[in-house]
Amino acid sequence: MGALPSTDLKGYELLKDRVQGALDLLQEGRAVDFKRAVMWNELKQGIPKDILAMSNLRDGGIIIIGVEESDNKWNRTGMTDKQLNTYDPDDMIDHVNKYASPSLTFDVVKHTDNEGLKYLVIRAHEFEEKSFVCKRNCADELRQGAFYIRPLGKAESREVQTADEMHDLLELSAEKRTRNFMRQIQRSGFDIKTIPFEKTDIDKFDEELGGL
Amino acid sequence: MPIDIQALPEKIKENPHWRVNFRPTIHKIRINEIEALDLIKETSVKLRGWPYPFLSDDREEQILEENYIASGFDWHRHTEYWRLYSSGQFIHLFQVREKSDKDWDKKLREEAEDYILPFRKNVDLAIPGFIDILNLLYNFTEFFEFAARLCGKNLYQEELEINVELLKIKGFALIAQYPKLWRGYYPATSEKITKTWTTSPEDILAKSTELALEGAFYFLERFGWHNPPIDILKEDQEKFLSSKI
Repeated sequence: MGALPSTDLKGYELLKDRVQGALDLLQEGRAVDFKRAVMWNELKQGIPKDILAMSNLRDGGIIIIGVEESDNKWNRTGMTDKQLNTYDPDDMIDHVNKYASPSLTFDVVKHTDNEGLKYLVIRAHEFEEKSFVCKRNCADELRQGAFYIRPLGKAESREVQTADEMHDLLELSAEKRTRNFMRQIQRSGFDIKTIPFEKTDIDKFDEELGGL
Repeated sequence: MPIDIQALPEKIKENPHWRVNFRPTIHKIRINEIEALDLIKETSVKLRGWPYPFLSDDREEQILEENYIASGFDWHRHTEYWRLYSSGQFIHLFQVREKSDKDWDKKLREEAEDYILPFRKNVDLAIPGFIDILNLLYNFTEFFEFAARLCGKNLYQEELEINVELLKIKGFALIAQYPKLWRGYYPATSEKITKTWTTSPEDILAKSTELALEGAFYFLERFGWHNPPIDILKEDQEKFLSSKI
């Protein structure tokens, strides 16, 4: 069984900052998802979709377990030790990878807030060059061959539904390949010429700033 | 938490702050305000607790003008304001968080007892604030990563100018937090450090990390810290970019 590291450990400083920021704001978004405190078995079926979707998102995202919605607002409840102890990172990664192609990885970390409440945090990493596709059906949750995303401006994980969403995903992948290609070209010593800098428009740019 | 967005730039400029400005070569309409909002949502860099730049979901914290969109935020540990113009020009002002975040300032003052004070001659002169070395590196990495993402979205097709300034920081000292063991007293001797790059989108796409390191080094050297440990900072930058911190 894999032990759960804590955001208080060296090496997790920025994740701690990110989690604390999300808990301070208490606002879900494309890159932040809250779940109520439950045992792993209760979350198991739905979590691959969220992780696949966040891994297809630029910069990835975090899922914080231990925040509950009631009366249209989010409340920090934290998790009990009994609930936390049901989460094993190795099992979780194996479970999610039953549905992910190519295989993905994510961090599973404990976090304690300034009131002593405990949470489980899953940090999904953005894909390297190939976006993740679901390779297996799972009840009504997952469909083989589907790309899961976090749509622009929404805090939900769902299949790609429109041409624009598919285009955005492909474009992100293409952008990564382009940047890698540009790095290779630069390292090879090639010089790509662009339009030289014209000084004549500087005044217009200064003017629109209005002293900022 | 309603705030007066338009008053934020003046508030920020009265305090120690960063100023980041991207501008392309040719002044022309490149984007409308709706496209600009989506562009920021798609390209902001989210590698730590706070996106760069931060776009509030609160409509009161967004401004849609004829030739720019803007957003600002003033809460908790963050005070910032930015604009993206239809011309492609981007301007971002934000307070030095090591100073505006009182808890962080307090923590750095405590660390300075070991890291800085033994190296000072005039200990009676108070240090007005601190610049965390890794935070400076992360800031530069975010500036150039954001620029690269804008280039990747074809906002800029020709050369562009990137200017980064750190202002009102005379007397501020560099500091590294534990477990880094970089000790010494490196104060800013002027109110302003500034550097401008004129470069191509291709260069930014290919070398955003190197340009960010170069910027960080330039600023660290202006504090009087010469020959910073490049390999260690590069490793820290790689971890930051791969979200391994």
